[in-house]
Amino acid sequence: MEKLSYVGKSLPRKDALIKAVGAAQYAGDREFAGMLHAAAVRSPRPRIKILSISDTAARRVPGYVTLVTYKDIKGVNKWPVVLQDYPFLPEKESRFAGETIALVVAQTARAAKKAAALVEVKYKELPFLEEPLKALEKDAVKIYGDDNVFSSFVIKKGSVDEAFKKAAFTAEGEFSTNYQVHAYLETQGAIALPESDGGMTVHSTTQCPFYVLDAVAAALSLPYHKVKILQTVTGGGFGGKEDVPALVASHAALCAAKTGRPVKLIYGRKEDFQSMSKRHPGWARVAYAADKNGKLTACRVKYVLDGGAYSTLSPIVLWRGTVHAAGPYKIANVDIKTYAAATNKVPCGAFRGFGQPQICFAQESLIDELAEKVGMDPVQFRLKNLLEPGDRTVTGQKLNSSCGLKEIVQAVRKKSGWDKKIKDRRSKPEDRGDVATGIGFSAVYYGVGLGAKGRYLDRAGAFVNIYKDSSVGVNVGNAEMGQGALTVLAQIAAETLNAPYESVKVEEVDSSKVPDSGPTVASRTTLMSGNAIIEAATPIRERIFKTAFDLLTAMGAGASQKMTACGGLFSMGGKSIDFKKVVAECWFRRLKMSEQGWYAAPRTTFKMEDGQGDAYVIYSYSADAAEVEVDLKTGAVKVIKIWAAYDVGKIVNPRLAVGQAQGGILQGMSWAVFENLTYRNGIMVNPNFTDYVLATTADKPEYDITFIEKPYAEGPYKAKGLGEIPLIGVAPAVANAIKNACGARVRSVPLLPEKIWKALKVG
Amino acid sequence: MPEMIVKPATLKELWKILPALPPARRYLAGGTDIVVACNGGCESSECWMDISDIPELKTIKETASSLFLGAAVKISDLERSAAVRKWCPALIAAIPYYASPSLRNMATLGGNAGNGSPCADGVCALVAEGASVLLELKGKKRRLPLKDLFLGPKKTALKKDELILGFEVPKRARLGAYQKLSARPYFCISKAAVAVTLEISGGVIKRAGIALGSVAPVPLYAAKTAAWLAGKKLSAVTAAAAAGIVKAEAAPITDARSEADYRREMCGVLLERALVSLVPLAGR
Amino acid sequence: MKQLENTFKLACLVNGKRTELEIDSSRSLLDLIREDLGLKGTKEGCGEGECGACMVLVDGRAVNSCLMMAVQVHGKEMVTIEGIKGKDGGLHPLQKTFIAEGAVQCGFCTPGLIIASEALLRRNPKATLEEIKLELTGNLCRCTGYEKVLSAVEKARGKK
Repeated sequence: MEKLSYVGKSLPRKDALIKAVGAAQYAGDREFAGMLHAAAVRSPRPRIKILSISDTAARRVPGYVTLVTYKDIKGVNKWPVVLQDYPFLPEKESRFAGETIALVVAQTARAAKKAAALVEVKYKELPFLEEPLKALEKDAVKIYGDDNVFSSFVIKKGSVDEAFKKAAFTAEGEFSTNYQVHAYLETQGAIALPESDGGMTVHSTTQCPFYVLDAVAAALSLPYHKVKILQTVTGGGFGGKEDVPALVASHAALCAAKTGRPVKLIYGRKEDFQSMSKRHPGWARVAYAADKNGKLTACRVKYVLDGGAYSTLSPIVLWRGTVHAAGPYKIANVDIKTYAAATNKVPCGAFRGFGQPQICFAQESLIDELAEKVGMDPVQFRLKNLLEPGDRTVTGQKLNSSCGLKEIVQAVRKKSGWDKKIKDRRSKPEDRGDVATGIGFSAVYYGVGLGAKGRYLDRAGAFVNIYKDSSVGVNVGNAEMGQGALTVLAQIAAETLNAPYESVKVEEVDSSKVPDSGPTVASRTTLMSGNAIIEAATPIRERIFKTAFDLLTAMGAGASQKMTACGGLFSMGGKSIDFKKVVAECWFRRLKMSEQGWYAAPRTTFKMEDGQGDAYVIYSYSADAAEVEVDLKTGAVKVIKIWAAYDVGKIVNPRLAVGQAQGGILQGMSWAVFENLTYRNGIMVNPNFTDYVLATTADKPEYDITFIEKPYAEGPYKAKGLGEIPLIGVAPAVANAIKNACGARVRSVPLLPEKIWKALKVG
Repeated sequence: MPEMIVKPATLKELWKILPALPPARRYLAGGTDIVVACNGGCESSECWMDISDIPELKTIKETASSLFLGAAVKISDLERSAAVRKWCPALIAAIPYYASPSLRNMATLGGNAGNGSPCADGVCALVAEGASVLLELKGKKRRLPLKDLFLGPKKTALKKDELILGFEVPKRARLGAYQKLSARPYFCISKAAVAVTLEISGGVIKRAGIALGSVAPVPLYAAKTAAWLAGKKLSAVTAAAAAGIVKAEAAPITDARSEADYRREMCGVLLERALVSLVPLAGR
Repeated sequence: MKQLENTFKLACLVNGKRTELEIDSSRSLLDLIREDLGLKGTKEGCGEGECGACMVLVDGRAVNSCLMMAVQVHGKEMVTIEGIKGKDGGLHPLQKTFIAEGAVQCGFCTPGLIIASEALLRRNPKATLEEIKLELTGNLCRCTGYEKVLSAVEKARGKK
């Protein structure tokens, strides 16, 4: 393979400079002439029948303009996302505390908030559901369909009951995990600008501009070509800006349509907590069986997600959790049943890991428990059962050669000093005073992209345009939200074109410049948009290379020699010419210097009836070891160090990749030990960073990160996907380390000191 | 947010303009409690009186027997004061756990005391220091033991418009410690906190000051535990015994931050750790 | 009691420039900065002093502008991210190291982190890693895991 000039190098981030000087324009930073401001009127109670909405008192606020309710919706009052049960604005019933019931528009943001607080909603309280397991009971109040189930999946393989009967060892446990709040530092927001042709342009902080397009067009009943979505610089997403920005943007657009003026709607942190999506709380009962040699023979899972008041993305989040529920192991007999239940709480949706972290915590904790019963070291036990190239997953999918799972497990084992630490802990349980240290392990696989359940969305477009001055503009349909897409995709474009990296600019998404490219989720951007860019750039590359060859030949380089292209320079027979000159010649020759690209993911064969078939096109892999200190008197945990290794295919930008890994690990750690969003009587108790605490600089563990790059033939320069996998295995590794340190097995996340203290007290 | 803010330059000016202000009015010092309480779009018709730049409230003054800490002195200025470092050992020990560095550049003890929260780290430490609070209302001054300022959750003995001028801490040589448990170790409201001061002579505790944070409706002065410690030799054994006593004195509840039985138990653990941390210093 | 004056004549130094304006006295400092002064580099992340995205320097110290009222900078010197510059008027050393180390991801926390780090290094140019960690506890970053932020601040020590 040709030597790469840009891919694989830690090139500087394209957007770091404007961000470091404070010049980057996030949604809230944009101003337009005549702009008004909107604020939401929110439901105070978990489930209400709306009797009336009055703005009599609100009208007295100086600067008040108007009230917007469902009556102002010209289109169908159904937000177009999966099951379409969520209205843009409720008509008769509001289903969770914090749901937007109406919007107030005013001259200033402050006036809008003040007036919104004065809008009087008369309502009658209705019986509500808080607990997902209770929601599934027969006599529960019904708030969705006739069973409160948004969605349900199965995976069935072999004969599980028989395998459990024959098993030499079994382990079973009930596990739960709490919400996780995305806590992107930039809250949700959008600005809608009415256009003179009756259309609407929307500036939106979002991961998924095309979801915003779908929603705004639906709410306003406009053809798509009259709606333009411009993604703003986006201050973090993590899944939290997948679906819900479409709702926020639609609200802004309804206000703009009614007033005929630009309208800005920026969420405060509290309302963002109360109404925007979250990681689902999860509950699972998992059981594993193994034979006398410690070989896994069967797995049984019941897994329930708390979907909240509307289904939003629950069906696909649940599906990903279902596919991965048994863990990355060879298991012949599998019985997995999963449910997403409706409750009268905030609707949950996408969050880095997408239904996997909850079930991974359960099954990777239980793998440790089973290893202990078998009498094997937990890493040895995993090595005995982990998937290898050529093996079949629980859905029957045969893995190809891009599977470095065992290698990464060995890498983490070695780097963390696992064997010695485990041996030392067994042989000399030293007098530790009040503090005990321990180490724990986990292994994870992750299907890259949307997979079978999202197959119709798994395509992406790109537009590559080389200007006369040789600068390169690239438009894609996937979004930069902090992860580094603008940089990584520029590297791929520069590599393919042999253009200088500095001359390539990838723009934030403009929905009118590229076709619908699906969401920026599921660690799919490098793979999908990267391949679309390569497809667009390849014919241009051919023209450029042909022209360069001609020019070099004309300069006297012998045509028999091989031309090389590297770092923006073309060389042959001792002669060289740069990209700029070659592009000038291409333009002079009137060659086509722009192209569209399109990439559609290969077909998957997964069948919903039995959960068998190829679920995803390719998998990434991770292994984590966590070292913790437990305060035996208080139960407080400090995570000291995390060793992690990943097989995510070719690394396009190592510095950015390490940054993604460190950020994902800390999010996982913070969820595992700190983050604790609670509800009481259907009302969120702590919608703020005072009492929903995140890890700070002082809590950060040491990181040791290794990449083992197993090339993926279909990937752009052999890359797979990285974004989500670093978070997934952290919580079980920490829980297993706590067990190793002090003997306390805590089966619910967050692993709070109170729980550990109780477990230690019980002994 | 308030309807308006006035900013008197001096105390004299404050008392002069006060009668003309709207009746719904409150003092604004560091803003770290009062602004949080009305953020998220809460608007009120209140008038706030910004006292954060009134010179009389910003001084740290030593007299023969006490140290005066002005109500509007920033926490980070307390931390940097040599006199505070010398005479307020428990307060100094608490400061690293007091909110975040930037909030310490804004927040004041006067504001925290006026807010009346049982969780305030600085107030809890000051109670253990045996501080008094100086109050003024239109030129009329009075003084209270700080522990008596607090009547219940967010309820104080302050009369309408009564202003906290500052705190007086006795200048007596003592050791101090602060131990806190919270959802994360730094920049976090406590689940339980213990402030300790000890006056020691010849290894024997002459006088103890113990205050508990977040385990009662008010910053709690643990009088029984303090009295029990007086006359005891400071040792690990004493510390363990004191832990048993203080657990009975705490009156915690279960709320979103923690659970009552855990908090009660932790008061003992934290007191024991605080006392044990002072053992090596007692001989000096 | 509406007869009382609800405006305030504010005079302060903003990024080295003498600034005088008449404001609604109930304005927050963050609104003054973003709306009246048009300095959008200072961000609102939480409005409760918990995240640090709104940090500015007032008289050389980092404060959370979301919890300060505008009247409280009267007679004081304020520096926002727009006023953070190197000696040569170009990038400040912290900006250079944040970029070079990969400490910037979504960037929303970056101005606040640079302000907090600048306040620390002004006071304590030789701050240790432990001191840096404790100083930055008031600045939430959800992207980076903080490692690269800390190394950026360490690398900026002693640079002008």
